[in-house]
Amino acid sequence: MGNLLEIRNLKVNFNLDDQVITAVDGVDLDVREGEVLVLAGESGSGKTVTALSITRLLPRTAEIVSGSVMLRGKDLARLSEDSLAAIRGKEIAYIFQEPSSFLNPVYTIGNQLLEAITLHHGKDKEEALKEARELLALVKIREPERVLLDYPHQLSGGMNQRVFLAMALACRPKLLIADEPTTSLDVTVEAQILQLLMELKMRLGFSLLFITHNLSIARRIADRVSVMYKGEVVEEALTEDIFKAPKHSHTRELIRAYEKIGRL
Amino acid sequence: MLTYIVRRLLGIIPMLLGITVLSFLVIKLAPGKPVMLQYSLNPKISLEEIRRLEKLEGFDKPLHIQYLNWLKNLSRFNFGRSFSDGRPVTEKIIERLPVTLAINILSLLFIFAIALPWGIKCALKEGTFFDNASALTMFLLFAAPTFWLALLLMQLFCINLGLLPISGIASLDFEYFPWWKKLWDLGRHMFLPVLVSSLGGFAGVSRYMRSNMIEAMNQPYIYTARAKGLSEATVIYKHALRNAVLPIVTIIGLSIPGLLGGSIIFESIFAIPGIGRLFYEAATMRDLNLIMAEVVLVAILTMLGNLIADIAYAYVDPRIRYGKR
Repeated sequence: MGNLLEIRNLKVNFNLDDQVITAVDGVDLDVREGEVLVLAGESGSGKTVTALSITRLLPRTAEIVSGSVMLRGKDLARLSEDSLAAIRGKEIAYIFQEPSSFLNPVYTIGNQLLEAITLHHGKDKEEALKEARELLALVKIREPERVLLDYPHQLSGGMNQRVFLAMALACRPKLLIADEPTTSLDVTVEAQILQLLMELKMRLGFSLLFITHNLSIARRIADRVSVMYKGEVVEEALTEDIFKAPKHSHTRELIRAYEKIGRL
Repeated sequence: MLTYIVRRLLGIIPMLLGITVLSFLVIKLAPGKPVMLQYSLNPKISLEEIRRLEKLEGFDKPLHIQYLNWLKNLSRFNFGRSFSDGRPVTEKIIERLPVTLAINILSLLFIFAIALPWGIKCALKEGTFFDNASALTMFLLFAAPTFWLALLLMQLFCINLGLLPISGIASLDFEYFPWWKKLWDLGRHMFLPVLVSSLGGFAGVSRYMRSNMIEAMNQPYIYTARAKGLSEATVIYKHALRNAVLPIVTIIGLSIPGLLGGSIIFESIFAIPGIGRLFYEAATMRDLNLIMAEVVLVAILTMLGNLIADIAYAYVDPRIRYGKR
């Protein structure tokens, strides 16, 4: 399998008032066509910043100091803001944790979904609406008509995450980046969302970069696992290998911690 | 939505009663007798004469009877007669109301038409020279006393430059002007009052809009909007703006009574025959009926403002319009 995305020597600084903090320090990461790569690590290890850096969605204080993000021969880190906007949502889409606050509270689900559908293709309203219903059916929402008219606060967290997933898949992206998409959900809903995600991945064939601190999720869904620690990738291996024979001391600690509470 | 409005309207009734009780008591507690205006300058008046005057106005009855009588009249919009010239209070108020309303509505429009875009611009340029310079200016405007600013502007525009009339609401020969000239004349007279009454509000609203916008731009859904590939303009003007404007909507309603209070000052300075000046004159002359009418009027306006704010908020914020499923 070829590489869809190649991150080389990525370094991201946060320029705060009185200090500079290096959140990501020389990360190399490959996402292959059609694979599930789990980016694991403790809180503050730089997973989310790495993910956001891919399409430069970072907050204003952050700055990509060096490195390249190659998507099929294009370096996203050096692309203009406009060309990058054309890639966001179309080739690389995101889903985030806490879908309820990542959806805009003052617009209906339909409004936000249609926006995603029409943005990258000039579809007319009729077509887009049909597409929206299909997308909601794709993520197994039973009453698409009703949900289209609902506002995010009227839906549960699990429903909102399904909507979010539909929105992310609207343009059939090559790469889906999921930043702890199930962290805010309870365990049953988490299982449903993960299952849905895997199912859709098989059906639509996108690559999945899944960020989590939860090693049991990593074990369940990953083809390969990268472990981040203090802004660096300390270990990268096939899922089986990493759980059987972890090489880095931090990976071993993480696994031991999970074994101790019997969650692995 | 409709039931919400009806519920809010019904809720006003007890509040209105409470307000009338309070304003009645407060005025009654104030020192000085209301009929004093009619006898204090007359050295020959006898004690019986005073008693008779008081009886005529019903001031000899117990307080709660006085209140009920007043309330009964009030329910028919009859606030009694003014002690200063004997004309019905309602008539005096209605004749003064349009000018004050016009100036206040104009300054509200002026405030929001300029303060909102200004605040947005500051938010988008957060921390730059423009933003800091604007902050300083706004604080100065906010802190500057209205009457002082008014006097300075009068000196500049009316005396030094001679561009605008210095006081009043219309020229002497206003009646004989064709309509377009009337409009022009009114505009020239109202320019400074509207400007002066807007400046403080403008400073406040623009700062408020700025902080709302900054907050909205840092919300998670902004990441989503960007991640979709939307242009920065759509991110700002569709996704952030609507959320940032929500709290502003309440300000419009709540600023109505404040503006009326401000009318007292600028109407006195610019010699504009409006409600504010009427109120001021009534207070200095202990014109009891007029004062009470004005207090009730301001209270009603405050409640109306609140109501408008609540309804408008429900209208723009779906989280209030529709409950959770």
